[in-house]
Amino acid sequence: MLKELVTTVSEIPTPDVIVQQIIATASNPNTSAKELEKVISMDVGLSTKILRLVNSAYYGLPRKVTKLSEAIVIIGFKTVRNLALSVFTYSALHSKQTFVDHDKLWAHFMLTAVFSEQIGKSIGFMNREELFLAGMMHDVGKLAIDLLFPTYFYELTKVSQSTGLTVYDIEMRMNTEPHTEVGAELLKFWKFPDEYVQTTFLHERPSINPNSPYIEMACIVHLANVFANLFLPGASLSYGEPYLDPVIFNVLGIKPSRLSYLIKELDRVYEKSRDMIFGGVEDETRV
Amino acid sequence: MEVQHLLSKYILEISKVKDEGTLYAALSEITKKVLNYEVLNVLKDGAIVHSDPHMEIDRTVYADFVPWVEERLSPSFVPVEDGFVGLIPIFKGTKVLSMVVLKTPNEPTSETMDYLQLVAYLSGVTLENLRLLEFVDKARGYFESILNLANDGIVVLSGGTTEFANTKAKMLFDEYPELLVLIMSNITGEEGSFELELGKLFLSVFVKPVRLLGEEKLLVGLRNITSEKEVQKLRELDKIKTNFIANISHELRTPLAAIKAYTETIINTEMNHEEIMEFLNIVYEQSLKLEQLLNDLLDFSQMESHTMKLIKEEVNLCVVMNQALDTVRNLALQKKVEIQAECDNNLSVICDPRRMEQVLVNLLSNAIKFSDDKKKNKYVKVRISKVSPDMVEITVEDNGIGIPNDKLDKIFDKFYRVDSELTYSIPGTGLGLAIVKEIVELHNGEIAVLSEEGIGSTFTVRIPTRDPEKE
Repeated sequence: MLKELVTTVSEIPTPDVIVQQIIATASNPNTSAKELEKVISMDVGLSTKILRLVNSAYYGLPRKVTKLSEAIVIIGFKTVRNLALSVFTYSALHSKQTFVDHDKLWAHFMLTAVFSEQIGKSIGFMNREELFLAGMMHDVGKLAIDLLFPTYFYELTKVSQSTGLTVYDIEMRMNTEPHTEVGAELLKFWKFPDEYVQTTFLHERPSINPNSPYIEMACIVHLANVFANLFLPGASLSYGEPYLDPVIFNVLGIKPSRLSYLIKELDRVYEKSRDMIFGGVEDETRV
Repeated sequence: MEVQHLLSKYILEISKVKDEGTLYAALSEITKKVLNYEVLNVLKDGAIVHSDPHMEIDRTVYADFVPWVEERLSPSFVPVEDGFVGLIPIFKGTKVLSMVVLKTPNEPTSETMDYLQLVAYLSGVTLENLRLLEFVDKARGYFESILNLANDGIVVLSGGTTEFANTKAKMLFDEYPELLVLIMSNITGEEGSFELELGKLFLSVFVKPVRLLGEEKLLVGLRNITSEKEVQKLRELDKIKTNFIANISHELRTPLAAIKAYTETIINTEMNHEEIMEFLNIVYEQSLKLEQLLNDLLDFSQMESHTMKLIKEEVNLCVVMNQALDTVRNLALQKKVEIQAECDNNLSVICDPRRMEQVLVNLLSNAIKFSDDKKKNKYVKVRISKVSPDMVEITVEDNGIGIPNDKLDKIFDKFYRVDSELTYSIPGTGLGLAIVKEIVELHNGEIAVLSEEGIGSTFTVRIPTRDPEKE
């Protein structure tokens, strides 16, 4: 039922024409930096927001970049695309006031995105930009549920907090459609490529479908999500101990002992990305 | 499709490269096709290791981006006045192996950056393998130099050939070309050790099978133990000398005690003439024994100092033999050993008659002393004959207790007694045969022995009839 609703109800924001155009342009292999810059510039505020993110401590550029076309060739087309989608996600999160704290969700989205990218880098996964975006989008189902049924979602988070069960566990016990499925449906509706849809669908339990062609991506985002929940407990509005699916060790070819070493790298990344996680993308005066 | 073709070609090319230079050349080629550049530099630890064409891109325009790109591990293009400087990290895992820097007037597209990232990944794997190979090579040299420092020879045999030999082993093989064959013939393929004797060289050889990648090899350690062996010999000699002193003291004491006791009795007791004569005979016999012992000792000290002199004259050996037989006759009677003597006519030989008599006495008395009490007809056969116009042979054959096979080569050693240790079941100093050998050799002759335990022994002495030194 929820799945049908996400595609029909107007409460849920859809990426506007510009954002859709950005995605299309960045995905076209023959796009030049100038072309992408032109598309982004159609939204006056967007370039500024993107440039602010490009110049954040997370990217740690040695020089300040003031032109979007320069930013594109320095940090890459896909990263700029990711940042455009981050800006969209941020505005979607703040499109409507509900009973839950959307800044918390933003922090969880962003932290999962940077953790996914870092884990990919650490284990030698090539498409790290895709990981960032998949991490950013993995919990979009929670946003959809919240926008559709704010009271229900609020109660869900309350139950999670009082029982110490994760939101996913409660969804499973109630036998309702979990946020993973709702999110996957929404991304499909937004015309996101299949890898993001699948990753969102599998991010709580990658072992549901270990034969997915995107199982590596799903496992990385799953691991990043677990760590994000440990670094910022409750930011995902899911309380209780996050579940680590053991399938990741096989799929990613890592040993459990690697995790303690990974956690140090993630801690470093967390420190670097604090201004993006907690500052959001609204404050334009700091550009 | 075209780029895919390029990539397949590139993968094939880099799978064959043997050195970094070739890899960078292939890397330049594909990069040129993906993105036309003016200059391409490859930096390794900050130094240019490859350049196409031969010129350096101004570092000041991009230097600040190098650590950033090394951290980010993605290709990046820094906009400069007349184009872009591309930085492409070649890495494996999170380790940057080298950095491709290129100068291009063309703005990179999204696809260009993706392909460069892919090329960087592929090159990283190959480059790491090349570096590992180089490392393995250097490590091999390093370990070989350690092995070469060893004072022991170290050899690895694989399929019957020498796969590795350290400096010490090579030195040994150069000096003793037969050594390797000797080792090969001694190894069983199982772990173990054995000793080898090559002239004056003593080696302790240790063999251990080792496996490398399923291949069976033999690790052989060679230790030169010549000096240890010498020390061991000296120790043995020292022990023998100690035994000898204990032995000789005992030998001297026995007749002396007898003489003392009998003369004491004569002095203190009233005895008739017959009794006195009997006692004095014993005293005389014992003093002869004592004299013999002291003569042996004197001979021995002469032997040790190489001062034994022969007084040679022309003598008939049969006469010498008869004198010797007279000397041992009493002993033979006591031991109930029958002596059979044979001597050719006209055995005129240039020699020292006193010494030759000593040789015969020694051989005969040994044969009598070591007679076998279990046998009924105990005999000693002595035979002197001419085996050629200028060679005389003396054989002393007995049916005594014989000499164990493993002791045969030692009986001519100084102080050696087969019964060894201090049992004294048969009196003697252990010098007799050593003195015999010395005398025979001083006569330019030789001595040999054949023996079987429980059956008997035959000693054969050959000496030339003429003294070659005098002619």
